[in-house]
Amino acid sequence: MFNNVSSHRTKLDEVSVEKKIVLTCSAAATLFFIKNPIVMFSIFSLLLLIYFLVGGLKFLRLGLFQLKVTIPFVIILAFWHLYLDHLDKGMTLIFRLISAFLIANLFLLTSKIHDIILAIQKYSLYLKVFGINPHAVSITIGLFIRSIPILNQRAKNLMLAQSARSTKRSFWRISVPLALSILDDADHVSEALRARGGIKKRES
Amino acid sequence: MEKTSVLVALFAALIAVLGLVPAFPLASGVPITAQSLGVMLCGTILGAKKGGLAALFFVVLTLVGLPLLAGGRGGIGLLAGASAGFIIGFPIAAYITGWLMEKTKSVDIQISVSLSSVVGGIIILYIPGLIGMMINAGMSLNAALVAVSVYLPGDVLKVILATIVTSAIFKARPNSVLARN
Repeated sequence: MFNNVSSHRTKLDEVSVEKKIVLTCSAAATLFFIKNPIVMFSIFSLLLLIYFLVGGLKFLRLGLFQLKVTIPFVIILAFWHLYLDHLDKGMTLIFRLISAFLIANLFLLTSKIHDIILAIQKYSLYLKVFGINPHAVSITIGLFIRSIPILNQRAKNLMLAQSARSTKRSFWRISVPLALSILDDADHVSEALRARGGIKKRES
Repeated sequence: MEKTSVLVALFAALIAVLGLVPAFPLASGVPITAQSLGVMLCGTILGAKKGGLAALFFVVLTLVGLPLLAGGRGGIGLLAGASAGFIIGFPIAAYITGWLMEKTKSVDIQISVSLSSVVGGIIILYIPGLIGMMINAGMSLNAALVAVSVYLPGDVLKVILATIVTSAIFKARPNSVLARN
């Protein structure tokens, strides 16, 4: 599922996640202030150049391949603005969308999910100011990521059980048992957590 | 404490898993997904605070980069897409749904669930969603309203499903519906 991380290391892999997050966010925010399609297109070309400089042709191809999720949005925006006769605005929006995706993917392709989560945990220490327990945040992140494949598998199993009993496959029939099983899990896991010392009240 | 974190994690994971149910990308660039059903369920089952937290948790981790939105999307770049408003609206919608559930404790469970998920999961969710479409896709309010109306039938189905699930859980285990405790 988390196959976003590129398999070959690039120069940007060594830069710390914090710096990359700040850079990504500020670059994405700047995009919103650009209204000119030509400037937008040059940013897009510049981004492609950055991809090439960072990891060579292979990395550039990978980055372009990741753009395939934006294709439906681009087509719709293009038709919509052709219909409205706002070609300038449409081009700006399309290149803004693609550039934002390129920027975000550049960050994702060069940072491991593991490092990103470590960074979140590190900064969640500051959440203490708002009365949020950082230890609870770390445990919740771990549980969240671990339970996605479990719940997915369970949904599939319930689907199989359901299709063994009916000729139709319908999602809504499994939704009640799925929700009940989640509540069961919550009971078991929270008891198991408590039995192993529970969540620390204060970070020592 | 433990119970809260586990419930938040599991319901956030439920929203993520519902995103794996095949989605239909539509003309406005916002796909029809089962994920807003997850958001409604967070509110109706967990209540305002925990439900809102679960949705917030999901949104933060998605924006940070986990590819959890329908169609395997994720990352800060989403904020430039047409669905940006809907994503930001998830925690607000879950919170309002839960808040209404808590306010309508004395009413029959089915009425209470459908009312709160219509208000929280549709009306409240559409407000930031519409604003996002107007800003990011450059649509006028009328165009955005027309584009959004396509999702209404799907959302009504989700409200019905949320009502069935929540009232079934309430019947089987009344204590599990935290919003009504």
